[in-house]
Amino acid sequence: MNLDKWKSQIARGTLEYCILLMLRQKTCYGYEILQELSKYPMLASTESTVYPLLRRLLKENYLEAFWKDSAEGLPPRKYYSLTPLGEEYVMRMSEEWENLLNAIVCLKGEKNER
Amino acid sequence: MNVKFEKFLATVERYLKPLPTSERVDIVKEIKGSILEMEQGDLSEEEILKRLGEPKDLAKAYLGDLMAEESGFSFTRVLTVCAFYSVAGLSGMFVIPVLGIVAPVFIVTGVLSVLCMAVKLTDYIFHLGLPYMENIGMFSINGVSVMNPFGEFFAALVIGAVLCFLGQGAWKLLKFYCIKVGKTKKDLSI
Repeated sequence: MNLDKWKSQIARGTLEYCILLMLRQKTCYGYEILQELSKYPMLASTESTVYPLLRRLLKENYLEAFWKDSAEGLPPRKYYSLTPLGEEYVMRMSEEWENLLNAIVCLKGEKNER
Repeated sequence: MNVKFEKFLATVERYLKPLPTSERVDIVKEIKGSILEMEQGDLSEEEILKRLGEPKDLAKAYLGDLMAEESGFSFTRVLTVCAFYSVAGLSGMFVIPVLGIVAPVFIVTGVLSVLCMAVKLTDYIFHLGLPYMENIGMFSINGVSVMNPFGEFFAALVIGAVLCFLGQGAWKLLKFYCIKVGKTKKDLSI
């Protein structure tokens, strides 16, 4: 039984939400976000998925970004943080996420009662 | 930085041409940063290239995401509207054949006119005495050329370049139009 297709769909659907949740906690640079995501097997992604997504969120004004030079031997890094619009966006996403989880709990619960 | 990576970044940058320069530069800068971080993280060259994938695909990932939002650019709007109505087959019947013919014809004509004039110029320089040379020309009164062949060759180059440029533009428009139709169709779930 292969769940890979479904898992990748779920990952694709929630990646934006996960990244915004991360940035809500702290300002991060692109590579750092990839490192953090790789801690969670289902969310592990590469540059080609995450970087264009960050760029789009930036264009849509949910994020703001700035370049900062790093220590010796390390490249300059582009740091991303949430704008007030982004804060509101992720809050609303969390509400919808709660609704989804509740729906799933209900659907699971009904089966157990049978 | 390693030659393979430089080449990779150059290829990505090439495929990002549709974007404004500042965006292109910023994107490449960020990817380069990633590569350097990965090198620091002790990933091998092979692993890094594998993770980044094909440069063309990486560039397309950026382009796809950006084409998805319509900016205030009105020309894009016009084309989107045309694409929308063409889903019913209307403007498509006009736009596609016109652009499809203009593009190659302009390009071929542009190239041919330069070639013909080059032949005439060679004939003039080397006094080859080729036949029909008097039929090649742009500025002639009663069959006698007013401009000397060097000038005519230069004019042919300019006109040829303009034609090729227009032909290429028509081709790009055609491609853009088809993509827009495809996307509109998808959006409308038809």
